[in-house]
Amino acid sequence: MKTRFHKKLYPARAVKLAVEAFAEVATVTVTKDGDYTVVDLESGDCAEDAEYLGEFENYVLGETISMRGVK
Amino acid sequence: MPAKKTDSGSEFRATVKGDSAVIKFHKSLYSTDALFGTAFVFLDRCYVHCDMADADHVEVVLVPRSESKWSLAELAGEFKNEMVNQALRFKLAKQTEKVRTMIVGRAIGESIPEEGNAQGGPVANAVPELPPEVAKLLSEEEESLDFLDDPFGIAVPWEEKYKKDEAAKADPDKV
Repeated sequence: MKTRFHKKLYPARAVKLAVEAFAEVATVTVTKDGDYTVVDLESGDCAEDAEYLGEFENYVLGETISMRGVK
Repeated sequence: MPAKKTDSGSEFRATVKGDSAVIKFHKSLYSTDALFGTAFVFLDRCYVHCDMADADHVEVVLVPRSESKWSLAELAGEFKNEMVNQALRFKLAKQTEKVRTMIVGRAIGESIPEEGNAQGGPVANAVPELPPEVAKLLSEEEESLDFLDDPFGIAVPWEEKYKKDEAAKADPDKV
């Protein structure tokens, strides 16, 4: 399953950290498409792919917020 | 004039598409800080994905977690309310930034001991600045005070003060 992260909202480093964290539980492929970082995530179980992808998106969001710092 | 039930014409609207709620707003309405602050609150309730719908609009997609008790409409409504909450929070934080910095700076500055006091010398500036009338009263009081005066007998030891009475009670014949 694929998802896209716009560079204005998500820093590339946040996506990279998430890819490293999910590498053990899924096959993650990253490509570039204009302003977007495209992530293709395959866990091996189609029924769980959506859940993995959702968790991946939340992870990237968490890293993004962490990088921006508490204000 | 009746209130409108739909907000489809506004710059901040929510729609339910399949198993997800989509919230779209103009980026001039809410800052990215407010958006991420809101998204953080919702991480435990649903999966949150932010995207640029176009050059001026940000789109947030909320997909509830499998065990979530929240409906899509509730999630969307709560998300919109939280956006307002976060926007106000950041606005107030910005407004009070200078005051907060001054308070913390002053507290830290006053907690640092001066060089003369580090060796146990008299504490300078320990008393905060007082209004002139209070300072005048205090100075008059200080002038009239003598440390040897003890009008209420506070300095007399308890044993000395009650010695005779107790001795008389213990042996009334001796007195």
